[in-house]
Amino acid sequence: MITVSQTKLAQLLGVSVGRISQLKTDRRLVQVGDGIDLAASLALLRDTADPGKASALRLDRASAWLETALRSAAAATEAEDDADTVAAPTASPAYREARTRKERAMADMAELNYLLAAGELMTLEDANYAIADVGTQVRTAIEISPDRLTPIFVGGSQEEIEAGLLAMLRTVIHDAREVHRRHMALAQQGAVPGLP
Amino acid sequence: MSDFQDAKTKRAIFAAMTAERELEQLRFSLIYLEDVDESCTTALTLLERISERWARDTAAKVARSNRDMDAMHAELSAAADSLLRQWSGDLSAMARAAE
Repeated sequence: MITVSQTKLAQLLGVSVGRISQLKTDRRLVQVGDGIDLAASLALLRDTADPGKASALRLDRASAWLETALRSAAAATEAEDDADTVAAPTASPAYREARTRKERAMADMAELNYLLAAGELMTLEDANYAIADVGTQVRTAIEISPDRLTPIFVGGSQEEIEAGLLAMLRTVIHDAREVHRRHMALAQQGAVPGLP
Repeated sequence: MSDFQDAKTKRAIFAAMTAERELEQLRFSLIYLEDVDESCTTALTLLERISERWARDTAAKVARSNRDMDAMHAELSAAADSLLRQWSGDLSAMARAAE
C-alpha cells in the first residue's frame, strides 16, 4: 500500500491543500493513520465523480505516479530477494540477459513517467479530449452561424456579407485557438514535480 | 545448471516480458504534447486557408437571395455544412499523408 501526505496528494492532483481538506470532509479520501491510501482514494474519487462535470483533479497523473511507486517498491523487494539467493557472478547468461531486459524496460517506463510529469507527454485520453473540445467549439460555432447571421445579412450587399462571413470565421478560429492554448497550458501545468 | 538456477532464470525471463509488455502499454497510452499542439494548430490553419474562398463563394450565393430570409438561411446552412465537410476532408487527407 502506498500512502501519501495531504500536501503530496495536492501536488499529485494539481489542486490546493484546502481542496484536499474539502475532499476529506466530503469523505472522498481513504485515510490510513496520518496518511492517505493513494490507490483506494483514487478509486473512490473516480467512483464518486460527478459525471456531468469536468473534474479539475489530475487523476491520470496521480495514477501514473502511483504505478511508478508500486513498481519501485516491487523492484526493491525483488532486489533484496535476489541478493539473498543468486549472486550475480554465478548467474547464467540467460538470467543476466533477462534481468537486463527488465531493467531496460523499467528505465524506459521511468523515463516516460518523468516526461509525463514534466509536461512533455500527455495521456491519449487528455489529448483526445483536448482535440475534440477544439473541434466541437469550431463545429458548433459554424453550425449556429446561419441563425445568427441571417437577420444581419438581410438586405446587405455581397461585399458586406463576405466581410461578415470572414469576421465570423476569424472569431471562430481565434476562440478555438484560445481553447487549444488553455488545454496545452493545463497539460503543462499539471506537471508533478519530483516524480521518480 | 541447478533446478534452482533454472527456476530463477525462468522467473527473470517472465519478469522481463511482463515489464516489456507494461512498457508497450504505457507507450501506446501517451503522446507528445508537441505533436498534439502541432496537429491542432495545423487543423486551424487549414480552416483559415479555406475560409476566404468559402466566404467569397457563399457571399455570392447568399447575396442573390438577400431579401428572402428563409432562402438566405437555407443557403447559409448549406454553406456551413459544406465548409465543415471540406475541413473534415482536408483533415482526413492530412492524417492519411502523416501515416
